[in-house]
Amino acid sequence: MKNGTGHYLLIDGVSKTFPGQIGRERLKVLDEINLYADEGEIIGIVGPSGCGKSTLLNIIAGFVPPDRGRVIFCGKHVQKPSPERAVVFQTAVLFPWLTVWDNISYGLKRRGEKNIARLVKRYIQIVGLDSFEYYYPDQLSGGMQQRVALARVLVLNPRLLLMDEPFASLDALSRLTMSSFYLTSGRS
Amino acid sequence: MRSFKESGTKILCWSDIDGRLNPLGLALPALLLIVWHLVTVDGNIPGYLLPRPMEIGKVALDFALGNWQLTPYSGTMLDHSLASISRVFSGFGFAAAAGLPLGFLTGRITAVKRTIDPTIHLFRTIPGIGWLPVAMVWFGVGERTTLFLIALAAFFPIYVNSAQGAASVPPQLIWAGRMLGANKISLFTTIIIPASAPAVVAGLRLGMGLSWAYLVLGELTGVAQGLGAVMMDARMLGHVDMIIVAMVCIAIWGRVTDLVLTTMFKLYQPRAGGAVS
Repeated sequence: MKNGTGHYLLIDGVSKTFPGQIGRERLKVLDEINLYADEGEIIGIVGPSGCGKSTLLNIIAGFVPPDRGRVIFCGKHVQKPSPERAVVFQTAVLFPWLTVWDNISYGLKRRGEKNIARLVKRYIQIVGLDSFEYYYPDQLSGGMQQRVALARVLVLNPRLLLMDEPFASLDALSRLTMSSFYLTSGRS
Repeated sequence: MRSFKESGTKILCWSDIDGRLNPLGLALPALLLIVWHLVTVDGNIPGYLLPRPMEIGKVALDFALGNWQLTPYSGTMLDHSLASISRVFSGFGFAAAAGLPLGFLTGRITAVKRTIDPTIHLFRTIPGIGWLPVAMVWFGVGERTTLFLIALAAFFPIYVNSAQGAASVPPQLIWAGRMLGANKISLFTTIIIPASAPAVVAGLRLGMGLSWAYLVLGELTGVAQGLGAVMMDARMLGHVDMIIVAMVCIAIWGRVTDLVLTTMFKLYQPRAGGAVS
């Protein structure tokens, strides 16, 4: 779907600075970033650590506001987080006091969804965690936690999936497995 | 693929994580009892200063059951304990009712923190015992002064820990909650409260411990019933054994109330929050 600006997602002149050390000028992290994406596209943002990749994703997600510029998603000015723009973080960021089932159903409950059990069960199967429904995050491996994090956002059927180095904390083999897994389950 | 880090429920004192008896936990009390027995058995320390452990045991049984009429307090343990426990829970309840909401608001809202936090920390530096004279003027001697002292003493750790816990919730958990559609109220009830629960429970436990300490201070000022009142009364009658028995009772009830708190927390939240998984 294209919006009034002609693009599904438009990042228009986004700049962001953070407070520098005492007595020094503010740290410029993003400077006039322009970017657009169309529906169905997969875009990778590559750069050395500290170059502002996560900051840009956080701005697109609506977690932090830009100093200048704007983010337009589906014709709407992004100003706060929304289940439409789901984020998978570097670490899984699961709620440690909730089971796998409760983590995945969290967003559905907030949305007032009626078919919670059916949806949660389906996505638990998709991410291959059947029989782990009632495990807590600290009982799962890093890769399994990331799969729960993916199921937690996919179950909400987001229109944009933002992934902030979700495999950074995994070993090389798990990273490879998870990459192909994300591509297949994300697309499906 | 799986890594299990089962954290067992450690509820019983002197028991290990897996529930087995921990001999090391019993060693120190046993050693203290032996030393106590040795220094008192030959009358090296007179009985009116420190009675022997066996005598204390008999007086304690008499205090509980009233079989031997060894002291004027025979068979009154339940009445005195209930009076003290009800004061502790009332004062602690007031402290929690004020400390928890104020602490959460301070921890999450900068304007509230800037407005009330400096004043609360100013009052916090006044020692609890420093409030005793003015409390006696305001509330008279007895019940209300005791409640005031307990509530005041328990308030500060509950407030400080709640504020610290709420302020320390990892921002990513808040982001995740908002991204998943939580509004301000559900964010508070489903993320901020569970994530800060370990710090809050630590504050409640500290508050409960102080409640028992200040109970004694309040009851010493003059109430008819209560373990502190027994201690003060026994001192005037020269019953050192009864003073020690009352102290032991307070220790046991203090431990029991602490266990009630920790058990309630474990039932509420089997996996403690506060960390990002």
